Amino acid sequence: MSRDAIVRIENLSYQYPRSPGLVLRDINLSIHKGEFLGIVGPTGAGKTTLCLALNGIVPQFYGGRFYGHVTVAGLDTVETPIHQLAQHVAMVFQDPETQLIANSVEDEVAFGLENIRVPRDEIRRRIEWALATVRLAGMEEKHPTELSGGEKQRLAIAAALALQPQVLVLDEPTSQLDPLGSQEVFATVRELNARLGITVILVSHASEEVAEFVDRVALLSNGELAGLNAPSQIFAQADLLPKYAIRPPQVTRFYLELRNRGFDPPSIPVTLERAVKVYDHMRTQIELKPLAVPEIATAEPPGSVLFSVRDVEHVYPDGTRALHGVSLDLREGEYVGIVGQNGAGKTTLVKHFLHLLEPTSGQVFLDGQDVTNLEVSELAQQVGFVAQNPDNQIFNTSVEAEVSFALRNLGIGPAEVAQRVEESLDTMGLVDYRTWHPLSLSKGDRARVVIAAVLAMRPDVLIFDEPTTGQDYLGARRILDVSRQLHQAGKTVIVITHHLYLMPGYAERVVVMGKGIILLDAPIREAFHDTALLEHTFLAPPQIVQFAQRIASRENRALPVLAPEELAACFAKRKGAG
Amino acid sequence: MTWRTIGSIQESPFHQLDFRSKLMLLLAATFLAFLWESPALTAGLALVVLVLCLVAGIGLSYLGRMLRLMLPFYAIVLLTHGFWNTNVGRTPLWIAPETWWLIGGSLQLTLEGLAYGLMVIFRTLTLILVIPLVIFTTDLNSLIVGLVRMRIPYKIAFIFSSTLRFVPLLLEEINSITEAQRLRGLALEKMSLLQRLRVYSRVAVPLILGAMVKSQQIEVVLASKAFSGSPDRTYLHESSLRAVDYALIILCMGIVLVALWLRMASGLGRFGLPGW
Amino acid sequence: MGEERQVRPLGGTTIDGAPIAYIIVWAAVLVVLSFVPIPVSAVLGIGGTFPMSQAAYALVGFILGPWAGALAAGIGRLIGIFIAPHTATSGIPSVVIAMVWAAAGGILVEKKSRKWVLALIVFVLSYVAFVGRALTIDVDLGLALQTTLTNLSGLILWLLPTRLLARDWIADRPPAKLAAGLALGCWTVNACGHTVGNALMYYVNAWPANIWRILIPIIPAEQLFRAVVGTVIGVGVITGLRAIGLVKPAKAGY
Repeated sequence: MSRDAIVRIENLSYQYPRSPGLVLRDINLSIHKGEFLGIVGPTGAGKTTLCLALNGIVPQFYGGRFYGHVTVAGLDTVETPIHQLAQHVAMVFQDPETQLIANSVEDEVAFGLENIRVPRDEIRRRIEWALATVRLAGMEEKHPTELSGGEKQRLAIAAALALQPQVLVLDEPTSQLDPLGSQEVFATVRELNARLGITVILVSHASEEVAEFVDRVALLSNGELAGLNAPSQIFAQADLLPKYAIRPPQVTRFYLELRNRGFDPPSIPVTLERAVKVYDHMRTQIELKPLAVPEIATAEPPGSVLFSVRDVEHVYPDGTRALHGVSLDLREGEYVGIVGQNGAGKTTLVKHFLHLLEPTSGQVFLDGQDVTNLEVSELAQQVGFVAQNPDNQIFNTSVEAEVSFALRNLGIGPAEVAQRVEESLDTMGLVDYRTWHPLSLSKGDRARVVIAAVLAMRPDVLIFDEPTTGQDYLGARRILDVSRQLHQAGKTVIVITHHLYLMPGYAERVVVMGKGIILLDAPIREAFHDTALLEHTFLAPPQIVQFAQRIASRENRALPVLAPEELAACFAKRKGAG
Repeated sequence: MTWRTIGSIQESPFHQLDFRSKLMLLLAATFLAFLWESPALTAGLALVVLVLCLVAGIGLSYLGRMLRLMLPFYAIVLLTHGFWNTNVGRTPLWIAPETWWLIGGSLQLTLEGLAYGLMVIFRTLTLILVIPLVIFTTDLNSLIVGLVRMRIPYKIAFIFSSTLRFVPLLLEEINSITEAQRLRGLALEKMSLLQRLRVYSRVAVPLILGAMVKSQQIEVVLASKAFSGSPDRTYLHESSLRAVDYALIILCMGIVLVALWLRMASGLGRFGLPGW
Repeated sequence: MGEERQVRPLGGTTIDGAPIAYIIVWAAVLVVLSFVPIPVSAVLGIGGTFPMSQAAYALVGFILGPWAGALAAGIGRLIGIFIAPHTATSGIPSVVIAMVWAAAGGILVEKKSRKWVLALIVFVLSYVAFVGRALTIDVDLGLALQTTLTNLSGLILWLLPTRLLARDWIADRPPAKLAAGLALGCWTVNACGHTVGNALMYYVNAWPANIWRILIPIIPAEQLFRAVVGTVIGVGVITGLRAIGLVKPAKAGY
């Protein structure tokens, strides 16, 4: 154990009141002054609880049973009041909305300082400093609703910084942000750690970023500390995904796959730069096989045109121009991913498909019929829309009632309703939960209830709006697997997302949107390898695509791969090499 | 959500007044609106409040929208009192012709009834206009500090300001909830009244549950920012009563007392028309 | 396993046992619901349709208790007035009415408390002030009684053990009982609150006797709609709260 530990956790176990088991079990962990510690683990592993144990909210706020000792800057977290601990440990949470509680930027920063009785002049000084540090200077008077997601999180960081804490804890600060916002937040945090020497503890599902930024990674699983080491050690474990449900960085998966195929990489890298270096070392041993990946498909998909969007413009009542002349054809049986930053117009576009919005100019046709001539309730039976937050789409007190809700509204007979409900519950694997209250299910299962309710209307088209936000890797995959299953059953599927790395294996065609126009509409391989265009819109292509392009430029040939396994399959042992 | 955006407010000298003195104005105007039943006095009071609103820089668009929305209510008030309020006086302005079925000859529009209706309209105008006049011209922070200085518990002042923070958020939520309901085949026109009520009321359920789940996160956020609800804290913003504030407070109190005394002593403010 | 530590849970900041954040979000919910008109176009009432928030004031009392409920309702109504001025015709008095509604809801479900007696006195005095003033203007007693039948029913249901029945049903598990309790509770609370409201509103606008006649069927219809909406929302919210297992305010009635 190091002498300059700022956080010391000894034999920590914890159980929430009115809940059955321990959420944390026997955790021992010391965090050094100035360290950047990453915490990874699947949903339910106890990451948030561990964070809250650092400033005394666990156990002082929640109660429950607390075992062991946690000391922060020499203060015991059970004996020191929360408001005193708050000056040493500042927290940034996941949801940008609920953690901003003031009505202006400067008041947000001032709030914590006022609570710990900092004098007015000092508050002024600290506001100026904190806002400058996160590059929000000049925004003092703005209302939180006027900020972008990334700006909101940076404001939350500024408010935390103003307390001049020794430890900054960030609990999934980017999971609800678009790629641009995430980049802003990661850059800010990294700078705070490097330049100001603040100890940073970051919980995140973004494996690539964690691997690149942090000094050490703590791996949590079922409330236990299953690993504590440098990222190069933690992420290079071959059983990370199957055993701990944690997605390793894509380049790491590539090298692990190479090793599986009998190659012998000198080390398993976890960052892009290291991966390129390791590749250079291996070049003498390996060579590219000819034609290992499928050619880029150029043929038109077979189905007939379902949706035809013609020069659609949309201006919201407040004057925001969300779409500027979008034209698009979507065919029967396609699986289309619509990607872009927040504010690119993705959701606005698909709302026109359902007559939830009317074009300011232009037209949308469904099977040749102008959508504006159709009722929403009519359209909904043909086009199922699974909106972002499942909880805003749950109205009933049992899963069964929820799934039959639309059918009853549509006046369908009881026998037919019963049959459709059965079918829907079966497809979504919810038969055992039929009498449960939807809200007593996990977030992933609640999403499935909403999908089941939409499926019960037997739509031909399914639209998913950001279905993976707030889900861990396996949760996200589970929902996307459902979409693929429906696609294979003949449905047309449209997925809106900014998680590009999740799309390969699902989407066939990708529409890239930016600032209300379509920037690119192409088969997924082509779209994901148009890295210049993606970077122009600050959409990072998946790490494996970036890596494949680096190799491609070295080898002087195209490598349009989308997945680590695909890339690994491109290689053969060089003849004559050891 | 800021005052500027709701009320399309412009900066004015009225903004310099302390919240406490403006609150006094609000209470005084509300009291007088209740006290007086005379159309002339209530009209004068409403006019004063309206002029103050304009001076204070409250946008015409806000006032216009408000009046437009109140119009149906005012029409009902005017008609009901004009035709049926026979208690205050019976000077006929118009009588339904004898040939009209049922109401012919008996239904009449009276001068006093109309006057009474107008009085009600002026009264409600005062009651409503005075709220934006006071609230919109007060910076939210000064409002909080003002409330705390008046020994309103800080917790309550804090609830007021935080509620404002979360209203726009919940407005977005309710839009997405109603949208989701429409997408589940909700076609209100095809339902009976009670069925419609039952189905439609459910939009509130996810809104409330979602808000309560959020509130748990808000609690944790508040605790981590060292919030305890105790008024023993510092304030970034200041609030102080200047001479002009004291003057306004004394003026308001004076007017209220004089009006009360006149009403009791000489009946000033009782319902009646000029020249009676 | 480490040594077990002595923990005194402090919880968060509360007012009368309700977490402060609950009060904040309920106030915000009530503001938002004042924008949602109940699609009952046939109601003459005051201003045509009525906002959904009116049906939720009793509910906020059932859930947060009397003081916290009244605070949420009052702040929600106050902010509602200047964001949506058309939903209030009387300014500050409408804030008072909202607070009375919510407080009555909280008192109805509160155990071991004598506040209900105080409330009863307020209701009866309001009724006397309201009808008394009407009698001195132009309304005869028969008409006054007919028009205020709903209000009287509220006072009687509040006085009789039906108040306790509503309280016990709201606290009970079976959804049918919960619904019955909410319906009875909403009707009682709304009718009593309406009495206080009328006393205030009648001061602002002493509507003539002919209007009293028109109101005979309208008042019970409006009350019925409010009770139905309140019950539907209440069943959804309370069963949901039980399913999620959120912290219950100390004076919650469910």
